[in-house]
Amino acid sequence: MSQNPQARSRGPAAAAAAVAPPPPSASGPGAETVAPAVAMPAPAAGGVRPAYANSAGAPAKARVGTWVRGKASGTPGRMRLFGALAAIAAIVFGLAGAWNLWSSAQALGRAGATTDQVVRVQSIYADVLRADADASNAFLVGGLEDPAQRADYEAAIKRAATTITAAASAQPADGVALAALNSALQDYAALVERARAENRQGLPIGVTYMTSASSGLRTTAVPILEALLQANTERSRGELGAASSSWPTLVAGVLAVLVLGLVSIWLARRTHRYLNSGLAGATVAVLVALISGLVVFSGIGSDAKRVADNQLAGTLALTSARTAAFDARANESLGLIRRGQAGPFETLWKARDAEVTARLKALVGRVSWYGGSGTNASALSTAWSAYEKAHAEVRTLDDGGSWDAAVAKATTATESPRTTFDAFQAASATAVDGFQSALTGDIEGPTTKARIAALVLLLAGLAAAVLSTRGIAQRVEEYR
Amino acid sequence: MSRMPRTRLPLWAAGTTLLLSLAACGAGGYAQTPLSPTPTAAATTSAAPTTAAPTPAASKCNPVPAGFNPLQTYDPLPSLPASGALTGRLAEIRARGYLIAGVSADTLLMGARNPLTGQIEGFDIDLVHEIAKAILGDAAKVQLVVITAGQRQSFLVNRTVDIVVRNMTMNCARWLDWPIAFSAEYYHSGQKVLVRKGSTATSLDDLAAAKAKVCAPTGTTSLAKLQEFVAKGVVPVTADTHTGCLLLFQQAKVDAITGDDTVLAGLATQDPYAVVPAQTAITAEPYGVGFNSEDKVFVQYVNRLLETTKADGRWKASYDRWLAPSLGDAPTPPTAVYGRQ
Repeated sequence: MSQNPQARSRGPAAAAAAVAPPPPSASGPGAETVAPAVAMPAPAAGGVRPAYANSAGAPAKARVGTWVRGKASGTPGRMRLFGALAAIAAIVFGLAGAWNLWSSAQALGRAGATTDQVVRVQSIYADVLRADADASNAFLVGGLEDPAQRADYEAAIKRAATTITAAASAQPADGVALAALNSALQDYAALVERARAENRQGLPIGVTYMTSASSGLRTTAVPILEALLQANTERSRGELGAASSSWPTLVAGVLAVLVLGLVSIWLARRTHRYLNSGLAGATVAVLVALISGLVVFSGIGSDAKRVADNQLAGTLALTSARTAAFDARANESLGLIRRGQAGPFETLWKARDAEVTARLKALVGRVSWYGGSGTNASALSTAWSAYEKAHAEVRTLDDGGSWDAAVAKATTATESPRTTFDAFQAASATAVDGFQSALTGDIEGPTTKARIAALVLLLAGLAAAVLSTRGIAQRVEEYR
Repeated sequence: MSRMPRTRLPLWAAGTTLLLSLAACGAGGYAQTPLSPTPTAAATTSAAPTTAAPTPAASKCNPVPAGFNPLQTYDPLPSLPASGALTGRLAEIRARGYLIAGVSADTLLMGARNPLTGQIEGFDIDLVHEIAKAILGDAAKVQLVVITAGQRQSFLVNRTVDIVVRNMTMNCARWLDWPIAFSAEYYHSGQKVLVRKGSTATSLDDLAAAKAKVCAPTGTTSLAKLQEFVAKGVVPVTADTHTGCLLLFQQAKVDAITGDDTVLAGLATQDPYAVVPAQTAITAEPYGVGFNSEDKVFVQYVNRLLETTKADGRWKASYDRWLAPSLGDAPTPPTAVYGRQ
């Protein structure tokens, strides 16, 4: 189109020039294909495309008109016309239904992919908060941090960075947000390293760098993570909803049946023969295809609803429970770091705790959907209760004025918030995997069904077109 | 017409092509994910908790009432009463078993957490332990509450803490507007500036001339003084604490920090590129222990204790340990002014 931009501005008078041979550079073996491209912008300027499409080309139009009138005149002509209409209706139905079902299969695939992305984002979220809980916890005890905790911090940061890369290639629409998240995470890690370096020199500014890193994480990275979760959850729900939208098939099918039926009635009246086998066959083919298409759609609809209500909702509930749990854990450490001023952090801890409990409760009825494999929800609740108990003991100590004892309790390796929390997080990670694979598996069935049905509808539409054309041709022959 | 055979493709092929291209269109990309969630989403973020400090209404200190002396405090008790004879707030603390003190954990030398031991220590903290030892018989029976400069008054007013020992300047607004009470002066400080090594500025006037960005913590008398230089060109920047200011200084977000000489000495210790040039203090900052204004007997009790520690060398021992290396030999302890009614 860009080869002759002047053609657009020259106006109708010069329009004919647009069909002139292309510039020398475009000639040669490729000229044949280039020529129409040059002509493309011209219709806007008037009269280049074949005349039947344009009021300006009177002689050509007359020629086509004569042909059409000749073919369409008289009863055979009308038969041809209605026959063509019936064939077009059948083909449109076949195409619309097949496209509709194919899109539905694609939507199911995308629903699975966006749910995978939700899980990826949640895992980044959990890792980021886990890293923060580790890093802040390290500042609780005097001297060097526990090597195991430091290793856990490094592993969490590394995992988060790797998952960000994976998520960015999985969903280009998340690219900008993930790039911003990556930069926020780098800033965070840099501040933590600075905090650690200052801390090793025994300087109080180390803690200031640490709290600045934590609050920066919550004002920059957390909103991006929330946005990513929201966007992908909405995409996933949207795709599941779109997968069962069958109206194009229904409309095209009903129209095709109506057209075939009306043409049959007209033909029966004209020819005084009740049954035209071709048209009847076409009508039955369309009707059967329409019904089976709708049945497949209804199956997809109930499968999609089940997936949305169970596996997707379950994955979301579980991953949200995990995120809330890590945030609770970070708030526990922050509450101890701001010694004697745990109140506001404890309020946040309680809110996160309530969220975890509610999410786990909502899961109980859904666990059977992944066949009971892995940990079930009540076991998760038990694991969480153990952590709650350990946390309460720490709070009792701190609130009673024994900050040192509270810190000792929070950082020991037996029956402490640390060990009970680790147990919960390991069990919940297994459960997330269970839900995720159940979701992938449950989407596969309806996807395959939709793909097969799409081909069936396409073939049925084409068959109906052929049948109706043959049926009409049979009658037209009788007029010869 | 020679191209016709090419366009007359079998119907099914055309249909499939159309089908696939339509399906491809339907797959269309999603809109870019925004950088923050849309408001409909339930926020699950944990914003850093903030404690809103009640702002005093119209000031009683504008102008300062005639004859008002911020250093003047209640008369000390004649002697420290026996633990069984304690009344009021003192009896409550005794019954509770520990003293709750609002302190700083990041003001090196005055009150800072030692990263190597995890303990908060400094000149202010020594005083807290003296008070706990006097009331409870054990210097360790203390709950140290780490507070920011801006929380000092409100935590006393709301009784979140029993006392505040956090380089707190005795002034009219704090005595009359909040109101809170002070013990006798236990340290005499003054406001100075900290600048980058190599800088020629030695005062807020110099910094104002250079239109410098100067940091002071929110809710401090240092910030109030700094605001007076805004008209001369200073750009004030605030942080939660003085160490927060040092963080901004290290990140080159501010050019200088202003604060009490004790605090600045602690900051300079942490950064070899930060120096407190020789200068005259622009303000007098008398430090007192802060109390809830209703705890008059508690104030009198601590005043008696301060008299004792200043007299028997405990005050000087604490000064020598924390401040002498940075600020030189111990001066004479500040003289208390009594007689407040």
